[in-house]
Amino acid sequence: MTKQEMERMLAQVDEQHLADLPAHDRPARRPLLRRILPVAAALLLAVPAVWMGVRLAERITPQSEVAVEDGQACYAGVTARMTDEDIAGCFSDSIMMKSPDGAITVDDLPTGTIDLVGHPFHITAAWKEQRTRNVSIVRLTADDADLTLTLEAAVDLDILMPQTDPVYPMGYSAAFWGHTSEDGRTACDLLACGTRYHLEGAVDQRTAMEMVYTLAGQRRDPRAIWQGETDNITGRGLVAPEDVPASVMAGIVPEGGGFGGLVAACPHLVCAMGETIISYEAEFRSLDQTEFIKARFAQYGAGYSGLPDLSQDSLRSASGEIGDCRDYQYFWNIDGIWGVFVSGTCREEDMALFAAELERLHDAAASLDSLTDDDIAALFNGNAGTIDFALDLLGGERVLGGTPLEVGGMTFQTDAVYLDADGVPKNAALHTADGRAQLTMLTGVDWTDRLPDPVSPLGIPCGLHATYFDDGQSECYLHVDDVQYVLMTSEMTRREVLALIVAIARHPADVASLYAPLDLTEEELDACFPRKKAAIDFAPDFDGGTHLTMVDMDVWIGERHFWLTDVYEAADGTPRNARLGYNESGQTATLWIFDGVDWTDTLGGPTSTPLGDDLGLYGSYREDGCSESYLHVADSQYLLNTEGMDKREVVQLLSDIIALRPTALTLAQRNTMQMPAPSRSLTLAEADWLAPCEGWVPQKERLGGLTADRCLLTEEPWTLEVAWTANDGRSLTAYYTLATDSRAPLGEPAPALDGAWSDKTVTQSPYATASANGLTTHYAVHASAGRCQVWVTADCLPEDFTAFVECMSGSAYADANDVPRETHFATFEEAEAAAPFCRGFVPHDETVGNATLSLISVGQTAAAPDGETYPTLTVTYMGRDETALVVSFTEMPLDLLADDPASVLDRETLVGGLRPQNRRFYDAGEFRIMVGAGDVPQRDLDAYSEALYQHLYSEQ
Amino acid sequence: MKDSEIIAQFFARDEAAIAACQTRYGGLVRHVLRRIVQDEGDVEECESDTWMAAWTSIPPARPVSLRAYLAKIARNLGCKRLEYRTAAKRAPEMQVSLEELGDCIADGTPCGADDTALGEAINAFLASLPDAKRRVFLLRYWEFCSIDEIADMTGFSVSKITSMLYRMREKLRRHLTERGLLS
Repeated sequence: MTKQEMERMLAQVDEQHLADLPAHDRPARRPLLRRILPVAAALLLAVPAVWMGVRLAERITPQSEVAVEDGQACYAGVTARMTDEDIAGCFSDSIMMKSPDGAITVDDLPTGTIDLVGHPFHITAAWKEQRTRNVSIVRLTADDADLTLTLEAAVDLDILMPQTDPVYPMGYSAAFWGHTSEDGRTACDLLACGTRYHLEGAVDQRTAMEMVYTLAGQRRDPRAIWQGETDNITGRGLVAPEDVPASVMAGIVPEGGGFGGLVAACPHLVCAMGETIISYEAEFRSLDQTEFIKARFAQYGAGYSGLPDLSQDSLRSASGEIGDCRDYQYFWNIDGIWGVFVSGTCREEDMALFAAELERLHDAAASLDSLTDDDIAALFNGNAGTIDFALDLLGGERVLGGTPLEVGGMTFQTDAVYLDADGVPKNAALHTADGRAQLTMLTGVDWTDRLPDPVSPLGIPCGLHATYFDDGQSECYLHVDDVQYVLMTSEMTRREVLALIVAIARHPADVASLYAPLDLTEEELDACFPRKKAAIDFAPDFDGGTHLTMVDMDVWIGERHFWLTDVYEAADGTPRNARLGYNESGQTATLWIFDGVDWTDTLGGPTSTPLGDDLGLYGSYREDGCSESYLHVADSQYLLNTEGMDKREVVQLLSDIIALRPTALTLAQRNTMQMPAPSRSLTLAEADWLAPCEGWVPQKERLGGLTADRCLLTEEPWTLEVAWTANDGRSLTAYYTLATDSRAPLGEPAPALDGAWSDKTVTQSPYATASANGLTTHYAVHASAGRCQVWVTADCLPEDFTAFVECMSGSAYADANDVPRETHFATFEEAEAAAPFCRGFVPHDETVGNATLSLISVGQTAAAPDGETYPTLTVTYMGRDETALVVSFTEMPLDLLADDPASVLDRETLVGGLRPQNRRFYDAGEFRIMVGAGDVPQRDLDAYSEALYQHLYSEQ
Repeated sequence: MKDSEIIAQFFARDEAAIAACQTRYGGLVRHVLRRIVQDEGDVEECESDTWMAAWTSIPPARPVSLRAYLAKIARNLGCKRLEYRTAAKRAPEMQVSLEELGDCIADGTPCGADDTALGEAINAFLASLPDAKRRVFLLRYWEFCSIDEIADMTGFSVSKITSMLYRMREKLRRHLTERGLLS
């Protein structure tokens, strides 16, 4: 395929694939920054470039007036080359940058003067960062002139968001804003290398500009000034080549010399940019200086994103021509530590020579042989024991066997590959035949926040924490991209282990590549369609079940995209059967799923098949391309009908079904995860009171390291959502929902609706799926609280989930033991049946006034001051405006129940009016009625009173 | 205004449809064009051509997704405009993007396939991708967005996107090989 054909192919992309691309209908979020970022490498690195230019100019044109004595004055004097008009053009706009608000003012200021830009200054103000409490902004006033300087460290242009664009008179290494007011005062801002230099005073524009650029060239830092720096910092920011650690430069930087027809005209220029960037620039020129190569080597630290994003490939280049001039741009990424940028106008063969030399040097530097035993020992820093994460192989389907992995001269057998819920290979377990090494691979692990300071062996971009034990065993955690490799070795030396690690890091294996595809012979394919047992007494037991109308839900089975079309549930509400359809490219398939079927008796037990052991596999493949397969895995039955697929495709599909092993229950559960939009928010206490699982909502706002920050109640289906979030983004969300409206998402079916608390066991069924932030663990927590179920989705630490379960269980214990048992009912009839003492007094209308029945319970109450408990029925009506009316029917004596005799009404009063107290008591003879009117409107009280009267009347 | 209403305006030959398109999809069209042609004048001209092309093609066309329809027109117009210019002036990100993909799947040997076959190949490949990956692939190689921009839009980390793209390129290469489009 040619590039032209490739472009033609891209032009044929169907619109359906484009429909959901971002609309880009808003202006760029950071227009200014976006303009700057693409040249961000040049921004910071241009500091030495300017210096280099100066040095070069000095070398080439000795008559230059610019004298650079040392590295500190890389900007000094540059305004000399600008005309007054040029400078005035830099002061065209007002400074709109934010002032240092939000910081903490420091009251105790030091005394003494500091020599800056030729003037003695003293500190007149300082501010601390709120977060770190370190001084980051220092304001100084000149003693001998009308000058005020403000230096601010760690300035993020993205946060400042100046409303006017800066100018770049000295190149893109520093952004400049300037303004001269009508009274002649000048103010200007320079943002360079993360520091903001603000100057105000009665100076002319040229002087002001020169001053701030000089400060930037000296890398003046407000933090250093605050810490007592009292003199110019010679060489700060610009470091001589010999000061750069040899280990940083070793093997990476060509040591001058010639390339093709070029000679090194300016072989060594080194700049240390703070603590994060070290750059080295070299220029190679032809004798007539018409051709040159500029090479810039940059080592950048963590978190710095301004440099061009290069491929993870060890070597990558791009080139182009601009106009009539050959202008080559080459970019290398040498294992993520060094970025090499080469540009120039020269012959291609010179560029090729340069590239070859870089590769050679890189390979030499990356050789394991270059490391001493001490170097290697330092890599086993012993922190592995502190890392215990992502070893979550639970959940996803386990597929035995897989393709062997050859790495580092060793052969790993694939024990198992683990697939996620979509059938995608995620994790794998491997070992060598001699047992010396075991390797576990886990995909989708965001390890960056957990390993803030990983070791990167040989400069390979990865995270490594490793331990080598005295007995010759080792435990290594290697992270490349989002894959975590856990390597356990024995009887291997440190060097051998490191060689293996380096090999894995250099050639990271994909778990998917271990997922062995089917490779069956024709005979084995035929064996997958034995015609015997065609008439199987299958289990299409839909009688008595309920057909659920499912939303369209896609289900990936292998490479095929099925749609879940039907689910049938049994009489107990458990999803039992499901049907999926597939129709693409002239191929169709229908898959029936039957859960919980004991088929072994019918079929005489499982057999070995080409697709695995312990299966039941029967069916036929017809000459017209149609097939019918009966597949039995564990207690699931599958009936697969296909059209238009060849035999191998059908067998592959059967294999994918075995790997995924879908059940009607799990499919229905995935559907229920599409929760309705929240309708209102509640406090935890309110939620606990309202939830259909009263007592199961942890009342603690903090669980483990998590804090409750959201509590929502949805109407249909009635579901309570409570979310806890940690500062680091970990989260746990619990859903309390009614079994009648949804099914437990995982594991065992919902508990029987026996209307009683189950025992105190909490069934947990964790499984993991990949998410954007790594693994997300879902838990199903089955708790029988009437018809309520609880299920949890979390990516939190296990101990946080344990805290949740314990807290929830604790609530249940409290309800079960400390507080008299309560039973929750859904209807008035159920409640009345359980509370015969007040039969006839409970209004049967589910709506009273504007209030609707929300909860009804009966049980013993311990409220009596004499310590006795009495049968009590409590009915709660909840208005749409969340006002509540609570009515209790109790056998408690009136004198114990009501402490205010005036609030007690007799039966006659019951018929008539109501008194203005919030609580009212009625003596109904053998029992008492207490109405907690709460804050319901008067009309609701009247309605209740009327309803109560009607029932009383009808009873009589 | 909804897409269906805009399309109805097109069918009613109501010129307000163009204004509505500009309001709703102007940003998208310019975004696509800027990844292809660098000159702002070319962007403006191609944008105008995009509205005109939509005006002349709707009806009879009734796009299912107006957004995708306009983006596709804009991209084709941008590529055509580029053909009139020297290839040396291609936008850097487009150049990098195509080089990146070309390094993997363009082996220099003509496959001789017509547009229909090429279209079937790429669309089958895209259909096989999960939505998130498909969007990343198209943002990179169809809209020529930079990795950083894609990271901003999708919320994935830069390294993850780089990794995803690498794997998708390899998958596309296998896909094309299986279809006989690559040797």
